[in-house]
Amino acid sequence: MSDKTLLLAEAMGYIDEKFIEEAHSEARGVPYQIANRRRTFRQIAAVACLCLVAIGVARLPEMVGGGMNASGEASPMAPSSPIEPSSPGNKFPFFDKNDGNSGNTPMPPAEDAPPQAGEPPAEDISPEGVGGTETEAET
Amino acid sequence: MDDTRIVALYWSRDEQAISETSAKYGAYCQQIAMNVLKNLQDAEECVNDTYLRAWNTIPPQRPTKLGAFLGKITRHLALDRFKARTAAKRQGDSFGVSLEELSECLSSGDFEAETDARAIGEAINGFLRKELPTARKIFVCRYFYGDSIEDICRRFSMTEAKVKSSLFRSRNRLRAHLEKEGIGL
Repeated sequence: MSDKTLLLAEAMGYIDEKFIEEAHSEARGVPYQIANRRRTFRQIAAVACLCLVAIGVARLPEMVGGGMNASGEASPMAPSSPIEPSSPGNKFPFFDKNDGNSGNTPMPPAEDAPPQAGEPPAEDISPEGVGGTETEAET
Repeated sequence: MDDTRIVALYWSRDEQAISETSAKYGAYCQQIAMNVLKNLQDAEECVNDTYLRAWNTIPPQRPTKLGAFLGKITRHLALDRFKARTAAKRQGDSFGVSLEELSECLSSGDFEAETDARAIGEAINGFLRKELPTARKIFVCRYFYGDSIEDICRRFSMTEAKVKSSLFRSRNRLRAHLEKEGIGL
């Protein structure tokens, strides 16, 4: 071992006591343990944030409101709230087949109903009109 | 027992000061001596000499940091014993290796032992004041306490590469600082 090396070793003996104490308290393990726990918490927090980001990215289409279904076709707008069944006092236009008066939309009268397929159009029957039908009925 | 009370025992020349010092700092001093000497018997002798030296220097001294005060004495005595050994060759132990690393910071030159060691020590103090806390602690653990790289890795929760990198950069900065101070030119 050279003289220079021993000289430096000797010189290290003259360093300030506060530096020696600082390194000694580190060597006792207390800050080491705290640093280790802090590092563990940081790692757990980082993993949790990544999971939340991944979940957020996966659910982003649903939150935006116009998403694509599995086959790639545009899916209709999903209602923001579930549809509740009709109940007395509920004015949601939900048609109940057992109750023709439910909801606000009135049922059209039978006379104004459009002709069904195959049926002849309704004729305008009036007293001055074509009486063919009455004459035949009278005769 | 806290340090101020132990120092008060030294001042009142109460022999209980030695037993209290041994109880509180005995293992600490022995670790420092073992790092340097790698021999249990020599280390124990060194620690006993430390108590004697402390008894003779307190009073008049009244150290505020008793642990660091005793550590310096132990290291100084261990180093003297290390130098006095007939094995001046490189031992391959961590303390010898750490001294070899540190010698890179000083270029070849003519030095007078006592005066220059103190001056270099003051320059190293100036360097350590500018260092970041973690780098400074690693430096002191390695080159004052003589801890091995593995011990430092365990204490600071770092990889070996990171510790070696920190020490390498510290030595480079120390070399630049010593050249700036005009030491070792």
